[in-house]
Amino acid sequence: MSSMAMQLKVNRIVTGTKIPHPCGDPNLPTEADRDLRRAVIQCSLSALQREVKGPTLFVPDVTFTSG
Amino acid sequence: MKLEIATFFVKDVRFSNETRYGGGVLEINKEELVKLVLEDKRVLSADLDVAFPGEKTRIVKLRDAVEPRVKVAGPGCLFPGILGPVETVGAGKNHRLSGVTVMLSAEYVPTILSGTAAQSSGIVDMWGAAAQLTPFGSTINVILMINLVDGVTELEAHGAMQLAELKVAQRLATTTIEKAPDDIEVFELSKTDPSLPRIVYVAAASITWQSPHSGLAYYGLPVRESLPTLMHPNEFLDGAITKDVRIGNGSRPTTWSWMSPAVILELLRQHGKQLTFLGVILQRTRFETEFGKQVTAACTSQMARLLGADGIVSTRISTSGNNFMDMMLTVQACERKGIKTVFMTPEWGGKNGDELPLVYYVPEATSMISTGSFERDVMMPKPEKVIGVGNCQSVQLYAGDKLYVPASEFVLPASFCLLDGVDCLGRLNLTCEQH
Amino acid sequence: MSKVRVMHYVNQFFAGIGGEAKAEVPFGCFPGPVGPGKRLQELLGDSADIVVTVYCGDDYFSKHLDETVAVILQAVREQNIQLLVAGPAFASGRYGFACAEVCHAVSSTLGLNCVTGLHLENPGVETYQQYKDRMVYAFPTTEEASGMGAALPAMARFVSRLAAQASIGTPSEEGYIPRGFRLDKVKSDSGAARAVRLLLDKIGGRAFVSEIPVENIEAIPVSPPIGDLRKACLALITTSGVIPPGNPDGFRGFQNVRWGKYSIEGLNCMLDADWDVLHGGYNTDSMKKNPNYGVPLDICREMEREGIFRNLYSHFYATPGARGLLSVMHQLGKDMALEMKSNGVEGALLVST
Repeated sequence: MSSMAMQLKVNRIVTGTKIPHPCGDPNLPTEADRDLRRAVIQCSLSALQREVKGPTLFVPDVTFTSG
Repeated sequence: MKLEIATFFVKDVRFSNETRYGGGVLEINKEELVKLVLEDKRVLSADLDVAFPGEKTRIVKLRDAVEPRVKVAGPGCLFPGILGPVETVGAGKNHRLSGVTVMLSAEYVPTILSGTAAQSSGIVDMWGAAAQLTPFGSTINVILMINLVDGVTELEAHGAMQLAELKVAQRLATTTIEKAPDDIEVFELSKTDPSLPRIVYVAAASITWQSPHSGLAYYGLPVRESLPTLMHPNEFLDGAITKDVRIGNGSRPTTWSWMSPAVILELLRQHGKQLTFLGVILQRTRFETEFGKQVTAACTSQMARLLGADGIVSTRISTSGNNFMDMMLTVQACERKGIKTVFMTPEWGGKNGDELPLVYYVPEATSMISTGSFERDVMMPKPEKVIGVGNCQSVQLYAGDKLYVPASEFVLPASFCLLDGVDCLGRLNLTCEQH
Repeated sequence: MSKVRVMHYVNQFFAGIGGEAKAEVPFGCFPGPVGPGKRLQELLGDSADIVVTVYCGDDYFSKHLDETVAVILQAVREQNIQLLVAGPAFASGRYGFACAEVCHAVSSTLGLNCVTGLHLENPGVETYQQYKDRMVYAFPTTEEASGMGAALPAMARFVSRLAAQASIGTPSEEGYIPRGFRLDKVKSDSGAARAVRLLLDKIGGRAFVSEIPVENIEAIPVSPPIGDLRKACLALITTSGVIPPGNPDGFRGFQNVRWGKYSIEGLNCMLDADWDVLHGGYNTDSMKKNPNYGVPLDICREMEREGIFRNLYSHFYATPGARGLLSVMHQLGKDMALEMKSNGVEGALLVST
């Protein structure tokens, strides 16, 4: 859905994992799920501290189960 | 694959002591059909009623509608995989009753209480503004009302409700056997002039793969995480595509609409004249990652290219903004492969048409057809009669929603509260114009 | 039938008062048509009468908008005006803006038809398209006033049609610039038939018109980055549908029109309390089992303890986002932002499904 947020001209967009659970992955073991969530939030916090000129996509460095 | 469809017009329906058809009149023996439905032990009780266009009648707790249609010759049967064994259909001879539907008003105790997997019901008004927004304001509707036993799972509920309506529809269609039809039409993808433009229809369907029933079934098998599937248009005319009967809201077409898909009929009728109809791509949408959406777009466009398409018409089901992205990315992928696209969709636009009609754009989407907005308020005046299963003093259209009093006057916040209230497949003449 | 009484609005230049040097002149009026209004009256013939011309300096207007508009409305009432013509303003930005504002005021307050002329790139067109007034019609003109000879006949023809109460068609039929709203219509054939025809036209290289234009979406002003995160108070917002159990604020699965704020004080993780999830647009199972997916409290508390930011605001903000009307969501967002600011919140993380 981040393309949609780009279209609607949101300026700071962070890609989450999947629609039913943007900040994590229930298919991962608990610790890995927390780490994933931390990575997404970390990315969001750095987005808050970055200067942007227009709609910008920030992608956290994560992998997650597909679907 | 040649399919001949014999049409028998119905101009009146009445209950009598025998189920038969003659002179445009369909007579129904209620007891016989109730007994037929109660053969399934999951059904607790059943009843029937009928509603005519123009009457001030409101029908509630609706789940689906089906056209009475039966196969009298050729392989398989109507609704293969459900009413009969799995066998490729789309050839032979069918009889259909035109101008009448079997409409299902049904109730059961749900176990999923929120989210996209939860059940919902729809409404139909036989007069007034709402009657113009669905096809059923103009058909005579035989309403089958059933209650299911306690303890059914969601999938069992779907199965029981679907079986009941399909059995009744089939039984009604059999009244035409041995009779002379009013009209005959032959559907065949015969050889055509090679210079005619080659067209593929992309029928996209938004799927909720984690739900007990994903929302759309192919030969009775719920489509889940699949990639695009190639089909012959005639297969739709034999009921190869069916829906999750628990979901009665208008953002999903009824079985009736899937049996007579407007774009397929138009392309079949123009085949050999204005165009060559190559076939149908059934595209599962609403992938939950952008990655998945790009994969389905690449795959669908590649399939269209392999078929040799010059152009595609695409439609979607469900008013979800999420699946809209899949559709637009597919338009983009096709255009970039040199395949021209026309994407037909209902639009948003808010209550007054002041808001954005669409939620996502690609620069390649330069030829769109609008089938009207589903966000406008719909006036529902006071009816003289309410038809629906069980206690219809108040109805809840979907889990967590407010209650409506069917016998009163009220305003619905959107046409997707009506059965087939959103024209996803392009059957009606509704649209929006830029001012 | 008596002639329709028209008011003509022009700027200081077209009123004959003076050029740029006179842009500060306050509003005034002349009886009958003045300047280009004279040619306009000729073209209108017997269909309408320009009974008064109101003018205002372009700079004066932008500095005294409310006052000037009030005077114009008063004059419209006093002189029983039935229709307003403004401009044409061509590419002149301040004049175009004034025309758009005057037309908006007269049509929305007094319910009168208004006709103006603007070059497509005149900033006044944006104002015109923002207002979306059903009774204001702007006709496209050339950039320079040398195009007056073409602009006036187009406007006059349309004014005469309005005066005769003719039924007005779409922008493509009548020639005016679209306001940008869409109206329901019943066509003579089905969506499917139109779709196939459109595709054949496109493939055949014939001219075609899309039924839904590609929209220009407005940019959102960029907010500056947070200077020192360690000193900042952050808040969490979610449209995933996480709400208190029992849904005390009466949210719906779709099309919500309100927002709520819910306390997370003393909670280290969303699982420390009970929550419901209401959202008609996605499978809510995972979210119900672990609302941290939508309100990432567990990680935020960890980071708060580590001093990565100063503190997390005591509540999270919520509204289930399925099928939200854009205009409603804009308003809710504005309201939430104002509230957050008044509570010292500097930055927010919005989790959407």
